[in-house]
Amino acid sequence: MDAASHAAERSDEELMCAYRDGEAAAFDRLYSKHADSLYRFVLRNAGAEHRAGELFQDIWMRVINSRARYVPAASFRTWLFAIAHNRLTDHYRAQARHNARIDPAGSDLAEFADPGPLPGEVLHNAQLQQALLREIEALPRAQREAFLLKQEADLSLEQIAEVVGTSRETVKSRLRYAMAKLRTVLRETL
Amino acid sequence: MSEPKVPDRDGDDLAELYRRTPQPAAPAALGEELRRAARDAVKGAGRRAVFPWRQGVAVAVVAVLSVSIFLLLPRESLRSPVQAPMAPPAADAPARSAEPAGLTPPEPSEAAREQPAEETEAPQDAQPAATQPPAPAAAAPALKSRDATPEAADDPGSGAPAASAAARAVERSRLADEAGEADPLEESYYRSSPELWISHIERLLSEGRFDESKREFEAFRARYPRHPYAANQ
Repeated sequence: MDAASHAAERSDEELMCAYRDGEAAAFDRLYSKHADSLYRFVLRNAGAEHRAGELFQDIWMRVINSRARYVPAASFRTWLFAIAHNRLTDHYRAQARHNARIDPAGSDLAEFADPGPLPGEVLHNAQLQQALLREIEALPRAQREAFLLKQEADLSLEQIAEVVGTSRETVKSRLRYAMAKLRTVLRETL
Repeated sequence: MSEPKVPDRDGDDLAELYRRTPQPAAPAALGEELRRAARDAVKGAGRRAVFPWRQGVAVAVVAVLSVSIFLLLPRESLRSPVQAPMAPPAADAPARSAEPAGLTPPEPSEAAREQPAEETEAPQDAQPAATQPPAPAAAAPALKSRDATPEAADDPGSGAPAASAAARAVERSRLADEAGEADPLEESYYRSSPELWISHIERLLSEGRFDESKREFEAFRARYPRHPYAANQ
């Protein structure tokens, strides 16, 4: 059995431990599995491609440089997106203009009553798809991050709470408000 | 006309719509760069892990060589130069340094020989030969041995404290006197600086050797007429 096929059978945590112990091929496998979703998560949080590229590279470099300290206490995906969350937080702090987007306490959420699920035909509407991306970008940061962690990283509520350092209920609330807002705006676009 | 399909309210509708949006992939160039960085990081760690092993081998080789050299060197060469005066003098050792200048074959250059005695600071100063009796040949090796110590190699002008240099000069002079000999090298040594010379004069005075102290003082005043010591006495 060669190293590549052996790496394909192992879990993310085993791969990261293998890379920590000096197996470079394990990193290739991890990168192949998570690079695209992480890139989209960063891109849709950061907004611009060039900025997203820098952040994306920085996040992976942090993975590389902190490999010696990696302990598989949580899932690798949670750890990876926690690094991304922290890097994005630093990024937002450096850019004060983004601070206004940070949802202070969800006070602006009450005005969005969830209008219910979208009709099925909107799924095939390219205009709505673009509108969705725009509205995701317009979401308060905490809600956008919760939504993207759910969609891109496929994390559970508990894992999202672990990544962003808050409670499960808070994450659940952020997600609910984010979806209500998106549905409202998308219905208005129809 | 059928009713539009209604997804459940857990967000599947939005999730489905989101999945249908353009899904950009991570730039390939970034991927190559990051994979290379990951490989380099692992290799770098490997080099760092190997380095102490090589360093340990190098230290061991140096230690073995040092022990070998120590064992192969003769014992005499390992003895500290400070212990040299304690070694018994060789009976047939040349007594050139202790020989009076007047008895020494003329080795210096013509210019050095023609130089006045008071202005000559070389060990073969002419005045001691005229004023001091010849040294016994038996004391010569011991004096030569003493001159070979690091103290004798000290340069008074090299920044060594004048007090310690003067103390050494006085001690040398005392030892020479105890040996009942005249040591032109010692005289030239204390004459090498005003401070040493003054110390020598003061010692002669304290020992009641007034004639010698007077001679030395006259010589000192001739050499350093503007020195405060020459003016105050």
